[in-house]
Amino acid sequence: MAVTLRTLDTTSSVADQQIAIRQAEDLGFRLVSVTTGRVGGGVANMVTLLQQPGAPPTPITLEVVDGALNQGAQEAALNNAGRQLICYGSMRVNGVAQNVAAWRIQA
Amino acid sequence: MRRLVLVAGCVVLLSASGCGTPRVNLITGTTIGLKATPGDGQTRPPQVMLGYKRGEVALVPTSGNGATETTDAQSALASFHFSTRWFGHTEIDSFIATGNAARHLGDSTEYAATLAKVTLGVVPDAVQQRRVKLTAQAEGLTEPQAESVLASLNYDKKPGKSAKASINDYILDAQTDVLVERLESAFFRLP
Repeated sequence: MAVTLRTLDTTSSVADQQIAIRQAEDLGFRLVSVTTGRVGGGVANMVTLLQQPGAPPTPITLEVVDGALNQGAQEAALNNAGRQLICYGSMRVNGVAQNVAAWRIQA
Repeated sequence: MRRLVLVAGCVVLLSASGCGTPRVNLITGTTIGLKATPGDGQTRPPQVMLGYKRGEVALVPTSGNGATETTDAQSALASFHFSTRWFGHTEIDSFIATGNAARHLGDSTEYAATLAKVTLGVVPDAVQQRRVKLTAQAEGLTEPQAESVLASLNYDKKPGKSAKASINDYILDAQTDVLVERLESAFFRLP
């Protein structure tokens, strides 16, 4: 399956970035990871997608986790029952670096 | 809070020669005015006003020897890109080329790809529905058919990917009505 790398607007809200990923998934792309990196020399929210025909089992959700929380509290936030964590990392939301979890409801 | 976000304009005049001789004159002017007024969360709703004016004139010679590998001032290319998230990020780009540069760029898939937006953004529902339909159509393509679609679009296969996978990428990157329509036309032309 082909891998597709795209970027998200670092100045967008987490809601808009979530919609952009959901729209990509509706076109047969599955989210593998989101992270802040560099593309073309500039800071970018990098999205790695896997081409996989068919609708996703459930829509993806992006959730900002408070970076002021200690490690244990952040880990607890990622362990909510019924959620399948796809990835957890740093993204720029409204231009600011945030810890963001990408998950979907377990089918 | 009320603010004037952007007022931009440009006028370019290129003149290749004087009167009475073969020449190219390209005049392009674009003015964009965007005013965004956030609401106060109570009685005043957010408002946006967008004004757009564009004029272009290209006078190309009707006589002359035409283009060669080393001489040509007849072709002209002018492109303009504007995007805004209303109360957020706003981009404006203008590009002008004449002569062989314009011809080569116009044929370049790399140039077309650069013009196409590759940063994923929120796509209007109407455009998204058309992209979903295109995805379903692409799923049914054989690899030779997919190669045929790419050829008719003058799009290159993505490095390391099949023609079908490449088309899926192009569908993902088609975030405007124009780019989606271009893909739809290519699919429509399939035998």
